Amino acid sequence: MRRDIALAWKQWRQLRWFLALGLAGFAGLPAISAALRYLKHGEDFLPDLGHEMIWMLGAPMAIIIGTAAAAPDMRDDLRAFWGSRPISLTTWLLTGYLIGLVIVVLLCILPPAVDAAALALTHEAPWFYSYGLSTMAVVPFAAGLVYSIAFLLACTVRRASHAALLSYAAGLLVLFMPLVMPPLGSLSVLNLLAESGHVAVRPADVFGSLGGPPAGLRLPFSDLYLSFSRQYYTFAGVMAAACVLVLALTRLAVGRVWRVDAGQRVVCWTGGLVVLVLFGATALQIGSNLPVRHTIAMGPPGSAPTLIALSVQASGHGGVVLLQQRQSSTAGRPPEAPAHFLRAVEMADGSPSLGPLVPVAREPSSATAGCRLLCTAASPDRAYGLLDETNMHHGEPGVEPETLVLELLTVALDGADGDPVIGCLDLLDAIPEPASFRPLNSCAYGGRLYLGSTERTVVVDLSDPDTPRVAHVVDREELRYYVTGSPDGPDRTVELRPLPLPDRKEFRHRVSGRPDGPERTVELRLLPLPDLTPRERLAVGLQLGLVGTVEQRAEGDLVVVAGREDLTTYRVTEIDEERAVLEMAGCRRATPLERYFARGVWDMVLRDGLAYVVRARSAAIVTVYDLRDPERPTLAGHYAAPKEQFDNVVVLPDGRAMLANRELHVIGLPRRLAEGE
Amino acid sequence: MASPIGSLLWKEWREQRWKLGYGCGTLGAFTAIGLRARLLPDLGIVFLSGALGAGIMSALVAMGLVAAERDEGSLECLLALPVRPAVVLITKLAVGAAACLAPLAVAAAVACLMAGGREMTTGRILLAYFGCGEFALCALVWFTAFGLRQPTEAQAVLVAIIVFGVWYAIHIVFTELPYGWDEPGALTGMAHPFGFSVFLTSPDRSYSAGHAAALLAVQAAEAGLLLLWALARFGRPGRATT
Repeated sequence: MRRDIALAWKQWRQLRWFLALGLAGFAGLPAISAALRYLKHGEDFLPDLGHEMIWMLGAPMAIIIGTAAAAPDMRDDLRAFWGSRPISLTTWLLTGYLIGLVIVVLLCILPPAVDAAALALTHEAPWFYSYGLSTMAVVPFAAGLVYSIAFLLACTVRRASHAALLSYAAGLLVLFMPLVMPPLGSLSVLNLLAESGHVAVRPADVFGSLGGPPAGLRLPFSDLYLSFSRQYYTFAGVMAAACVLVLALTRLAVGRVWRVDAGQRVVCWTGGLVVLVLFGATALQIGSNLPVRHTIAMGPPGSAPTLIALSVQASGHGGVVLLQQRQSSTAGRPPEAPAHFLRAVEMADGSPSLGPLVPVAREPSSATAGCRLLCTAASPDRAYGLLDETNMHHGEPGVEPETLVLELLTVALDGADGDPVIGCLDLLDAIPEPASFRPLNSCAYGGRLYLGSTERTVVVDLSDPDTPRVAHVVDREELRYYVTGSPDGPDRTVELRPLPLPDRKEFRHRVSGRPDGPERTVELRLLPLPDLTPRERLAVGLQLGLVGTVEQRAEGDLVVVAGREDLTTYRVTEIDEERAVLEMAGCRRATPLERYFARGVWDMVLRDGLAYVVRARSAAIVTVYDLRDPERPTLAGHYAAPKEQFDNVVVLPDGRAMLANRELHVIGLPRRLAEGE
Repeated sequence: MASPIGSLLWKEWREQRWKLGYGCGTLGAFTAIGLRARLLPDLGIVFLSGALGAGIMSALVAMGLVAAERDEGSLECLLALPVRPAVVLITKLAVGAAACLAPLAVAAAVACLMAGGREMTTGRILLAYFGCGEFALCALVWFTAFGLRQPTEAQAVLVAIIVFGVWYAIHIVFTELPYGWDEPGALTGMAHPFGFSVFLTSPDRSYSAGHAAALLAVQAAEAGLLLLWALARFGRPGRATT
């Protein structure tokens, strides 16, 4: 026993400087940063960077400690010395391993604990310090495995520096391979840290409202409980088991004197290949793989991109682009009203060409004026601009927001002389709702335009393309559906879903009580739109129904809902004048990387069993899903344009997709889909 | 008969060429994958391949210039050649600089071919890689000068990591200072090796040609002083052994 303690003491003396250095870096630098922020900005003194430093530097520190714990004693002369001592190899290895592991765990726990304590003292809401607690609960397991691998490599590779560099490569695989390989997603420390709910801080009364006793660890000095998800336990169990396995392998390697002479070239190429494999796997999963057929600048060649396309719509000749002229802002002056233009896109011989700029707006009076574009295939020489203007910049505090202008402008695209705006239909009487909560959806179907607000649906007849008229106004008050929040509360969160399809967890939980998946069968009430068949009413209603980051479309018997986390397919099993019954066919969950790089859904087009989905976060990404087997939605291709912000997508008759922002992009399908596999 | 300098160059080339090949292969592939996949804006990929490539390649090359010779015991033979020690070090640095710059040139060529005129003009891409090349040369001189007396490659690379850590700490501390250390004209920003980042700024935060020239002059003077310091110490006996 005394020998074990002496061995532990020797190992502690050897490694204690790493603990001191790590604490100084992970807790000291955040303290310095907080002090400077306090002195410079007068903010609260909050050392809240500790957990971020552990995220970034915890694994490298574990590698350094793992190498330092094993390498010195593995030199040939010392190895012979330890072999001559009356101490078992297992005890010797285990003591060295455990002392290093304790230091690694302390380094992963103490700085975020300081963060969490500082934030808990200054903020009451638990989420302020939940990051620190998540870090304390999750990172030690991953850092422990990285440390174990570094310990093994330091025992088997002859040179300590090479062992450390190989450990970095292995550490990259441990940390990032589960992130980029979807089947290993539950083993990713980054997924656990990024996704909420795996390590949750909850007040005791929450458990009572859920109908059960408090579960998890009670936090000291509070009435809060730390609870863990099943995925967390899987992750922790696998990481701990892997640590034990690596330790057993280390014992075997040292016992049989396995020594690897990895040179500098082996180390460098290993590290480089690991980085390329990870990067390549990420790129294959979410990078662009759809061929770009054409790109055309929206403005004159060589000029700064001041003309930005807001949207593109299909028309009889190809498409029409709605452009906004970017205005330069001047300090002290109110922003000028944006100027809007239309530009036809002619698809001659498969190649796009842009027509002349056609001004749309009629003297918009403020920067709050907005415009959206509607086109129909039946009238290729006409486009319709829905111009709206609110009093958002005019109103004083406390003044109710109000819609000042809501007009449907008819614009001639055929290059006729004179004012291209040949007609104006005032829609304020038809849609008088206040502007603050007036999410307005619109679509063109057949020879009509449909405008859906929170209160009603307006049908605009285009039988005379130059003189649109309001044909019907359908009240849809009765179809309101509140998903989250209280409709009467002061901070109400309203999402209108006249045709509710499951997408969000809250919705699933509330409606079906089964938070683990969408319902199998959904019954929808169809909008009472005149002159349309039930299937057409289903298609139009789905398109008008949602406002926000979810899109739903119908094509034949197929209904598709694309949301933040999944794409769900339904089959129409029954449909009559009043209702449609849908049965869920399949669902494709987004991988963590897909969720990270693309969140909200902005538009979706269904064409010939393919779904073209426009998502956006920091970059615009268009994803094509193959839904020809609705039970197994599969990913067919991606197109990413990081500098662009696409509002919608137009699918051309040959399957190519057209997108517009700073440039007009025409992208093709993957070869197997283009050849009609 | 080959001149001693020619022999030195050939010897260094034989020792460093795998690093050049490694850098060209990995940086070129990384740039190509990134620009093809478009996971990030093109500027982000250019920054990652250029700045990180410059930092990693300079540390990798610097660790093999002097410390490797000392570790293998061949430094004494080099110093016994009929050339001045300063010439030996400059020859090593010249080949090392080529090994640092060639991968950046390959990455720049890949970027121009794949993404020139897409999000950045070809000129801006070349300017960004020029800045990264300038950073690579500065970092090579810094890492070589401070790691000159280290007995092993491992310790030399540890010194490089410490130097980089000090740069980063200075960057963090100075960023919090109230007078804008990295604003055009601030000497602190120009003297800091991270000053090359002005070449990677977006067109919205453009800089003047005068600022760029002043930055290059300050960094060249800084590197020159470090080089003189290194040359003065190179011929002297080093630290004992491992």
